[in-house]
Amino acid sequence: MAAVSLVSMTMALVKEFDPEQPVVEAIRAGDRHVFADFVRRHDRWVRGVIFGVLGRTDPVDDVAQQVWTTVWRRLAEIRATDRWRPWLYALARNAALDAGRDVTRQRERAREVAFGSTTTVSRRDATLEADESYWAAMAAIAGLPELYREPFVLRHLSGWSYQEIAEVMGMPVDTVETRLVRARRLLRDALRKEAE
Amino acid sequence: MQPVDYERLIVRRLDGEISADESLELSRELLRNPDLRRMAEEYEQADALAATALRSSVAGDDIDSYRERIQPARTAAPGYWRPHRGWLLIPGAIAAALLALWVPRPDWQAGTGERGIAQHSTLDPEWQVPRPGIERSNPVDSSLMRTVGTTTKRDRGRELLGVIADDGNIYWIEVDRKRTLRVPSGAALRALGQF
Repeated sequence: MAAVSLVSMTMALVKEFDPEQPVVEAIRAGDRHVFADFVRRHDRWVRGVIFGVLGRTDPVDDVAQQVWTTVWRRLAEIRATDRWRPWLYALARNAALDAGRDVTRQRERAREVAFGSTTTVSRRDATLEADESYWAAMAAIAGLPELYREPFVLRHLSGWSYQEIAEVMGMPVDTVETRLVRARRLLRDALRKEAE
Repeated sequence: MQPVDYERLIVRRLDGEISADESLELSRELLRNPDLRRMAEEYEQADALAATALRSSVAGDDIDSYRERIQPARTAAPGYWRPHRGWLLIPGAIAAALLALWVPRPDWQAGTGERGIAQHSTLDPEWQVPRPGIERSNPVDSSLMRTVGTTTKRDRGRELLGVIADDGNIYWIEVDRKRTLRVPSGAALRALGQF
């Protein structure tokens, strides 16, 4: 019995320990090299969040650049360093939302047909590609409602568990799971429609 | 008792969140129910496609390396009988090793010696002479040539992230990024009159 409780206590401690926390402290102290490694490790999911919000690939590079600049400037402001991940998620999400508003305004003015349009992908571009399935997949993902797209992209780009996604997005695990199921259903239907 | 939501179980299995009991339950139902089997296949295909597309276009990953990574997981996941097949290979491997020890080695395994040199000397001697200078073709033309018959091109590069520090200086961070670029097929280019 004592052994079982010891194991569970150890597991709880292991679960609570976040190896990135000392890294965040070092970045707060101004260590550029540590920050560079931190960027390399987390750039993928930050980009995933941005794409998840926007449903477009073209502004992702610029917005990610902006997010990391802000992280470097404002990381010192975090009080609870163990909450760095939700903080970074919120930062990326807000930057993407701002960029989305700019992009929408630009699009209204220019009326250009771009790859990342939320509902359509230029058929001319698609027919230029032998590998149409790639475009079909990207169009299907871009066409998902943001509600479902965000956890779906996070799941695929970061490989996070339902629990981790739920923590970052601030919602129950069941909700994450339900959204992922619906995302799969919509994606399957969209790809099936594309194939017909 | 609530009916089992098999669609949810399929998604859980895809995400690696399924328990052993649920997996067994799902496997049983998949054997019985062809419609569910079709659904599972469709979900798996759509998922793999979406993951590849996302990683290549958003995260800038190399598609092939990603496929290599996911291949074992995808093949091992469905079917609880599959892990047992590995045991069948052991007697075969032992038999092959014994056979290799027993059969006398042919000369070509020696690697060096006169015979080997003689074989090399039959090659065109021009091949052994280094070519003078470096031949460079037009990069645009050569990339177009490569697109005939293939549609993907890998591009490895570095991206610089600029960060403004408190002291006002800009620090640049290099991030390695591999991209898989998709280029028009040869037929499409010919149709556009570019090739």
